[in-house]
Amino acid sequence: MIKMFDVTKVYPNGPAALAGVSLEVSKGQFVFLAGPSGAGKTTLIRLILCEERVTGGQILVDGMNLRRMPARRIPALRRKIGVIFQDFKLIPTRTVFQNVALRLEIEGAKPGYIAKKVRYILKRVGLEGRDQAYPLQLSGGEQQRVAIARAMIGDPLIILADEPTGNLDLGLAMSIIRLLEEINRNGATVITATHNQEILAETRHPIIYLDRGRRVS
Amino acid sequence: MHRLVYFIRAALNNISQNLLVNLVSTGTIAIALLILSGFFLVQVNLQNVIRASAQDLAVTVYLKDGLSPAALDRLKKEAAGLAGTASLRYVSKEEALAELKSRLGDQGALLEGLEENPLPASLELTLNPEFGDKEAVKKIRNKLQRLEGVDDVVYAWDWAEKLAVFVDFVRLASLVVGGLLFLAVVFIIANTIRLTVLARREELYIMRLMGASESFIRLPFLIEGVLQGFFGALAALAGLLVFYYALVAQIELPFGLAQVKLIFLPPFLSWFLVAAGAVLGFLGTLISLGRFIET
Repeated sequence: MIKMFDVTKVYPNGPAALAGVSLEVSKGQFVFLAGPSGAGKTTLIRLILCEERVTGGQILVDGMNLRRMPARRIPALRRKIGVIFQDFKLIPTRTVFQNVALRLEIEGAKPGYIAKKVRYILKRVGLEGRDQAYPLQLSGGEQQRVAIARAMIGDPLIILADEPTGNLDLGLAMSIIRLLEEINRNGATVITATHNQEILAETRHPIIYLDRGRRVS
Repeated sequence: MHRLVYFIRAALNNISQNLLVNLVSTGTIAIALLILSGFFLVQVNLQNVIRASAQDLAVTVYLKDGLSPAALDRLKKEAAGLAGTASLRYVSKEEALAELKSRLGDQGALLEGLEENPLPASLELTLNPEFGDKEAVKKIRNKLQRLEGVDDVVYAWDWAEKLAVFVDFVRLASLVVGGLLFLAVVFIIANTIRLTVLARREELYIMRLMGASESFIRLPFLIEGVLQGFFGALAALAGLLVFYYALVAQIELPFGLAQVKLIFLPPFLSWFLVAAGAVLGFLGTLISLGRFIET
């Protein structure tokens, strides 16, 4: 599903954020991306999302070569990916329902279908009845569940989660990981970046370690 | 269809979230278009006056003083015999003075103190309609001018032509002012949309990460700009209508133009103004998005 060959990313006037990283994540796999702050985890996720372009090497996502991908095709790539951030990145002026519905609105789904699917997904992430709340009226754990609901509603091929448990205590963090595992069981390939050692210690999923831009295992 | 509804709803949402900025922008557009439509109104009515006076087929032939009755008779016959003359009326010096007195009404007494009658005698000719075009009238006037005893020949075209020069000036002025106002409107809309875009930068970034295409992001802003221009133009038309009924329609035109009615903008010009408002809104937004939404 995702293949990286000798990927390098260098920012102007800075050290290499990634240097010669190669990896392969198969369809339906659940993989952790681990390493300390500044290891290159977020850069790697940004490269897969085509927010940044590689300086060297190649990235293939679902058969598409991102290095050569024209800008007009980026939205189609991103619609195959559900993305979750540590700071949730919810739109504060929109309700929970509207935040989650956004993805389907982008795809041009009909309002009736959107309403039905949003309610179903909110139920799955344990936020039934909270659809009219605004993000700032929710706890951190609830906000992250909204972000997960938004990421999974379009049935993406890939879920990219960048430190999804960063702001949560261990109990809530584990419940978020279990939710991601459930999405993975339904067929999505999941890449979760984390530096949370407790989560990494308990998992049986493969872990890719990065340190100062290099793959160390 | 539901997609269009979504975009319109998103645009209305944008407007309601930045209501004050949108109101100020629409108001400014309305004022700019009101000034422009004021120019249109003046132009349309001046052209009306010109057209009306051009349809006036009367020619006045002023006669030299001291013509003998025989010379006057000969002149009348020659004028009546010209191709194009439909009817002819002789107005003596005394009749001209009496007509002027009656036109002046209460102020007619001012003429009492005159030692001699300064008004010339004249022949008032009405032309056949087929001789009503500019060239035919010029020919008739030249012929009349050459007749013995004729001092001057005056036709409505004379002052209509002078007025036409003024109308040309108004047209040029409205083009220049219109061009500047158009630029101003585009600038106003571009800046309003820019403020909205800046206020929603984070939201647009999130939408892009969700896979929103550029057109998905741009369309609500374009609709917002078009709505601003459209409602600005409607408000300008409403303002012009008030101005027309309160002032223009009350104007009493001078003698000779009483048959001319001062009109409001014809429908096609009103529609043009509304369409222009919408197009300007679209252009302003396009410029703004080109500069402020990065891909």
